[in-house]
Formats: sequence, C-alpha cells, structure tokens
Amino acid sequence: MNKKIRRRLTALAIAWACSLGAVEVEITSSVYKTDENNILAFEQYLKEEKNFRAESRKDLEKNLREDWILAEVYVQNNFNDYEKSKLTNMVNRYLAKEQIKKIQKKIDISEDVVKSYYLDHLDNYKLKPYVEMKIFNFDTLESAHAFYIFTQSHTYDESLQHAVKEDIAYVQYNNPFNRMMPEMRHSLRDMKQKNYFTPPQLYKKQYMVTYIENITEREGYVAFEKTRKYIKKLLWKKTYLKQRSDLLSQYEAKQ
Amino acid sequence: MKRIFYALLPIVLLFLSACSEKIETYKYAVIDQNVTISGKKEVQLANRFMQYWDARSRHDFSSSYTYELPYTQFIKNKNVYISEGKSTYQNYKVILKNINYDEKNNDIVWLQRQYIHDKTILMLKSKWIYINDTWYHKYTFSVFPE
Repeated sequence: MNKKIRRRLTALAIAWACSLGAVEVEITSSVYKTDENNILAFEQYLKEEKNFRAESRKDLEKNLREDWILAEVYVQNNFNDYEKSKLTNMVNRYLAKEQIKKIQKKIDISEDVVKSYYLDHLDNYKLKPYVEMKIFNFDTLESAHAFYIFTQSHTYDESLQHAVKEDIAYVQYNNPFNRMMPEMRHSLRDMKQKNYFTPPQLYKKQYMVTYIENITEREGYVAFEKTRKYIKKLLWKKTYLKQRSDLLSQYEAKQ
Repeated sequence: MKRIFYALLPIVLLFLSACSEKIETYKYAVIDQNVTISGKKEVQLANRFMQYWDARSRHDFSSSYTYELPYTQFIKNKNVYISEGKSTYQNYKVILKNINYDEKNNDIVWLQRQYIHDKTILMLKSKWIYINDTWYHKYTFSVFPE
C-alpha cells in the first residue's frame, strides 16, 4: 500500500480509537491506563511511521499518555456525533477493502480468462501509428510564435536552415504514438503530416513548435504475451465486487 | 479381447466425432435454412448458439452462465448474472440468421439473430469468441429485449 495513504489512515485510526475512548472516559491523568501491548504498538508505530526510536520505556509511556490527553481534548472540542460516525464508517470501509484485497491476492487467473479478455478487447491493443517529428524548443512564447509565423510562409528546408542560423535547439522524435506524453498525444490527435503545430506548454519556460514529418499507420496488434501481465492486473482489480459479495455470502451463511 | 477392443476403438472414435459434428435441435433456438454451416468449428458454434439462447429463453441462467466468456465468469458474480437475466422476457424464439467472421481474426464472430416474442420481431447481433477449442458468448446486460 502507498506509504502516504497508510500513514494517513493510521493517524485516522488512532484518532478514531481515541474518539471512542473519549465518549466514556474523563480527561484526568488518574483515569488513563495503558498496558504492555499498547506500549509495544506505539513503539512499533514510531519506528515504522516516524522513523524514530524512543529512548526508554518511561519516554514511551510519557508520550503515549500525553498524546492520549491531547487527542481527547481535540476530539471533545472538534468532533460531534456525526463526525465520529463518519470516521468510524471510513475506517470500516478501509478495513473491508483490505479484507477483500487479501482474498484477491490469492486468486489465480487462468490463461483462458486472460486470453478471452484480450480477444474481446482486441481493438484496444491495435498498434498505434509511428510518428516522426522535429521539436523546436524556445525559452519565450514570443520567439516560438515568431518562428511559427516564419514557417507558415517558408518551406520546411528554409525553416530548418533558419533554425540552424538562429541557433534554435531542436530534437528529432521518432516514437510510436502511444509512447508520447498524454498532452502531446492529445494535441497531435487530429494533425496531418508535413504540418507544424504548437502543443501546449509542457514544461516551465519551454515553448515548442513541432513539425510532423511522417505518420506511419501500423497493421496488427500488440502481442498477447506482452499484454498478459497488464490484463491480469486489470482483471484482478475487476474482481473486487465479485469477491465482496462472495465473501459476504460466505460470512452471512456462517452466521 | 484386447485386440478386438483396439480394433474397434477407431470406429467408435469416428462414430463419436461424427456425432459431435451433428447440429442439434432446440425448442426456442433454431438456425435459418439459408445459413450454411460447415466444419467442426462452425457446427460447435451453431450448437452452442442454440444451447445458449434456448437456456436463456427458458430462464435457465445457471446453464447460460457457463457459455459466457471466461473473463466474464471470472469477474461477474453468478447471482448477479441470474438476477439480471430474470428481468428479461421468457419463452422467446431466436433464429440464427447470419454468421460474420471478423476480418482479421477467425476466432471472433458476429452472429446475427432474429428475436421473436409475441408480436415483437427484432434483428440483433452478438459476439462469440473461440478460446481453447470452445466458443463463448460475449455478455452485455441490456434492459431491451435480448
């Protein structure tokens, strides 16, 4: 799981746990109690999430107690019943998802299943055209615009000579359509070859004028062997609802 | 005894393969007389087409579920599939009208069928895909007549 999300959810779970305690217990140091498990869990949490090791058990206990008091104050001042329920529901949903993911990881996807998905979505695996183009780079929008205007009244060779003369940096870009940056791909969608176009600014202080030299349409499809891994991942995600209802029906039958 | 068994085995196998190439008959699904079916692969397609639509017309969705593409069976819950099927009409007739192979792949085929229920007659088509020597139906849920 993403470390950032895990960290956020752990914090959420702690706040939630505190909020539950806050309903019944008063904020006084005499009421607060802890046990060995709690201290060990807190130590582990500090190690994993904060990359910090507490010096002694006394420190740990002290920190734990202080956090508890502050969390209590925060919950009592900021959380009404609605927010407490909201938090409980969020944590429940997260735990439910984790449970389903645990089951999903054990599922074996057969070759027939993958192959049937591939054949049914064959159009998605059509080889994309191969694009050859030159990208002229500029530091300012004005200079890019001026070059673009120049190209409109001159031939390609003249424009290229002009670029060399003016010391304009350009790169040759030969790649399949699907390997381009999404913004570039989007701009190129309706373009024809032997044409100039100005894609949106992709980088800070970098403006482009692009000349499409050639677009070669390609026959055929991406080989099944190359897509197998991605299809498996996709199908694995798609089993979520099925696994959820299967798991629920199993659990409900037991009860 | 063993010799007789081995001598008869090819004949039995030949007989069984001949049987498997036979087009069967069903109450709710038939093949139009103008449709020509040739070869073992196409016979299997026609038979599975009829078995599938006959089961669906009888609302036997547990059977028709096994004809759906393997990935559909993999991601779609059977109970959901059955409940979706129950919202459709029952006892309609389906006639196979045409077989159109995909231009680039012989394992993908579009079957055009006529749907007849009371006074409703519709022309519909569905996709079938050949995977591991078996034809499977491509399932799409629709509230309109199947």
